[in-house]
Amino acid sequence: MMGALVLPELGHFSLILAFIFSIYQMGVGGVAARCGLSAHKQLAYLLLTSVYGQVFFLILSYLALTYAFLTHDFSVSYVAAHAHTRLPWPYRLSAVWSAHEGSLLLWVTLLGGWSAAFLCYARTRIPLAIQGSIVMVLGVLSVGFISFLLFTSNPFLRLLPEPPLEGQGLNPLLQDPGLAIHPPMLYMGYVGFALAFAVAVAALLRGKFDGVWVQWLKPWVMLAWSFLTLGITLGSWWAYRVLGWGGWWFWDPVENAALLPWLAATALFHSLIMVEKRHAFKIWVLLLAILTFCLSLLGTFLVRSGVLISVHAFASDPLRGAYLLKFLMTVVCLALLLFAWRSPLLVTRQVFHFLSKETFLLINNIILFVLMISVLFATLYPLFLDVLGMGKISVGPPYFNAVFIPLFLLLVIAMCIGPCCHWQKTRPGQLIKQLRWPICLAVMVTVVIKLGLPPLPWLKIIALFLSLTLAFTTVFISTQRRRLGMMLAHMGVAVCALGIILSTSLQTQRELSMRPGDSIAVGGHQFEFMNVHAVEGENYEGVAADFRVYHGLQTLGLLSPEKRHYFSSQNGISQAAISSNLFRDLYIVLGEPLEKNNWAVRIYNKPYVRFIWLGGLLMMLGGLISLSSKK
Amino acid sequence: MRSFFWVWCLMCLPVYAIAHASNTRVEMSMEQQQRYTELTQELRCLVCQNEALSDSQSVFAKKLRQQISDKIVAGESKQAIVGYLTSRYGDFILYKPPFQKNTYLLWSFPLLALFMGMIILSRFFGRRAS
Amino acid sequence: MKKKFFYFLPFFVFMLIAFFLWRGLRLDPAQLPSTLIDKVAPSFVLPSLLDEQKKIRSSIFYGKISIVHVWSSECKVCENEYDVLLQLAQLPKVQLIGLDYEDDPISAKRYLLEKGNPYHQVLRGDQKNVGLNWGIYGTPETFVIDQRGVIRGKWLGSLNEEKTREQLKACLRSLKDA
Repeated sequence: MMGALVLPELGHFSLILAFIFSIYQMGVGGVAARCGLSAHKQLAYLLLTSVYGQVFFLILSYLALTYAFLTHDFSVSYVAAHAHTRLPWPYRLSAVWSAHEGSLLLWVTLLGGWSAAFLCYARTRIPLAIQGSIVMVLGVLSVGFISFLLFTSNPFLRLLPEPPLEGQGLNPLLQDPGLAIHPPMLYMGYVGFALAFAVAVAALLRGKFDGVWVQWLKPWVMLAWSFLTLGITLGSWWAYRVLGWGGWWFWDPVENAALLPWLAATALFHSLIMVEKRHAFKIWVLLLAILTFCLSLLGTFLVRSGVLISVHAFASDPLRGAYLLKFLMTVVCLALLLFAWRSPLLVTRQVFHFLSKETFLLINNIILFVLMISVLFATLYPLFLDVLGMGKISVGPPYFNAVFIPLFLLLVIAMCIGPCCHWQKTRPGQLIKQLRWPICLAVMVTVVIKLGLPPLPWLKIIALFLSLTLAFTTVFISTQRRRLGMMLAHMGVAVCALGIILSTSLQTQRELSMRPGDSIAVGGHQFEFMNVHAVEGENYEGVAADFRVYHGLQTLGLLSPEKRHYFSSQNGISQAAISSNLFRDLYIVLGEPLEKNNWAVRIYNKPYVRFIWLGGLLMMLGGLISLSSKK
Repeated sequence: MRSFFWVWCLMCLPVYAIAHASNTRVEMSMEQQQRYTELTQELRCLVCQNEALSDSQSVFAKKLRQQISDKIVAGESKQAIVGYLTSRYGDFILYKPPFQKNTYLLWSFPLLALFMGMIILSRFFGRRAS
Repeated sequence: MKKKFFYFLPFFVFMLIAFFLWRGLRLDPAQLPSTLIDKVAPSFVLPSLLDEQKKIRSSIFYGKISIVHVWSSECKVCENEYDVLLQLAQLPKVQLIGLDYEDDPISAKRYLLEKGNPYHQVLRGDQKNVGLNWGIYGTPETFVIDQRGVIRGKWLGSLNEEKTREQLKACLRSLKDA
């Protein structure tokens, strides 16, 4: 019993130990890197102990915090602020990363985990000196983040001697399975890019980067990318389900912060192929590897510092922002200076034939990079203006859609042609032969869809045609070459694009006030408002409205959107009811009660909206498969 | 990551739910209703600053939506309404930044970047000739 | 030399971004400047909160320096501003006008009765488009208007903030000297 009482202190203590280990890791890594080929075998063990020791204590510390959440230890101020005695246990686990301190602890624990996994992989494959360089860089990152945690945002601070009897509760919006696993996945991605960063910096330090290095680097990039893809997909799905207006992407700075490293990483692993196969683009790859991680850090900074998104009184702590920015500047400046100094050593000269795989990989990289830098620029633009005193503006979805969509369509064209090309040179005849059937098919399907639909704007028709072409070409190519991973991922892009186009063009929506007994038709379905009744959950109570849904004469069952009131929160929230199959979602949200037993209701029929996340999952799966097939 | 942002945003709301299925818009024609939806989605709620006016539940957003629907019913054009709002709240309220002196760079940036990219691309083939 | 520059380009670009981020840390992106600064205050005819019969017109601003404080009985922040408001109201040659933004008049009256009324005049702000015309989007907001009815300054958020109070007082001083 006494043991449990001091557990938070033990957690804090392990965090300090982990900090010491991270400094040790930096040192040992440095020594191993310096010793070069003559490095002693025992150094390898020291390297192992430093990394494993660090991850051991980080996990211990993480478990201590989790235990505090599970046992409602409200004497820990972080727990008191984000938990409640009536919180169901799965959400007690996810509450650990529901706010700044805990999510940062998760971040460093994952970084430790990635480092350990990498060392495990590297032990038999990578020369000790290079291992040393990489581990040293990872150590620097660890030191930075753990000290950030310890000095500015300690999750183990106590509220003693009089701990509150009840916690303030977890935000109701976060009590959703989608969100429970979304942040860890996203962080797995972010943190995974730290490895790419470390390898790139090590390569610059050593002045060497070739096919072997790419083989070390590639699986980690793919893995991190897959996690990030999953994280973004889950986040989008969560927003769709929980936020209550049926949108799945809002282009707000926090979402962009996740999209930026994703775009950079996508460019990165496409250009890795170039280094591997053609020994070209070495400098570019190193720059992208550094940038990808920098963008992850930048994303963290943007979210944590409140430079872009402080909403009224909830602007975050400027102290933390300043610390994070200093750390970010140190790491990135050093890396980029190193890049400027060493990369001239790695210059390669290449000449391409216009119709070749190289060209299209290059085009792919250019477009992805333009997309990335445009999104970055637009996200930061209001800040630029504000700092220069040139006014306050907002850059929102209309701008991003106007910029992103045309560029994305260019990318889709490149994706149709690129995989059909051979290395070095492709004859136009060959290309036409490969592309003609998919294009014919796509034209036919587009025409059929066009005839069956209400009039669409021309941009959507072009987008539809291109996405279909992409889907068909990908299938055609896969019958000839066995590259399942690539095929799945490209298919994912096509499916996602189709989902976006079709769901936005075909969506029907009604907002109205209804009372029990009313019935309304939305998008070919009949919704009958049956009754309103009280509901009660473990930590909330509220009302549910039952809607019976008919398709023709056939009944599809009951949908019950709710308005919940959580005991721990002032706010009522709407729980949308969604009936989904692969081809359409029926989505009902219950709004305010109006006079005379009327209720505000919003009903959507969203055809093909599932395709958006299905596409995301396919991309992730493609990433994972290409990871396992590389031997 | 973004979850935290939504949390903040949520906290500034009194109630988080859908809002305006009220009877104010009954008299709108289909075309007017479409204009209303379009407009409210392109305007930013100044209280919950990361929500569109159409989605926000704040008093401010409710009031403004009411205003906009009144103006639409009165037959005012989109430009007139946007002008009316920006003269009071500034460009910040527009999610689509206007094309003006301080946004020339913003709007031209993607084109410039793409142009640079094309120059780089062309250099790869240019070398072959020499 | 030219070549070298390209290798340093990422570094320079990043430094530029970092500079803006650093400056941005000290700015509050939520603070919106009023578009009405140095413009004549919007004209209005509004009932007084405490006396429904009495109509107050925008001509009230002429000849005096006015502070228009936008508040509401539901606003938690406004509750703690009472002392500051009282101080402001006692300044010579200054009139403090309350604007009760989008509020229920009954609960607003009760609020003033319980907490005390620091204002010289209180306007009902739930009428017509007062809020919209003034570019108000929340409470508390504070305007300073000069003797000719021109808006000279606007601040968002609590007057208990040291910075806001300093700026407000400086603005008042400059008006008095003129």
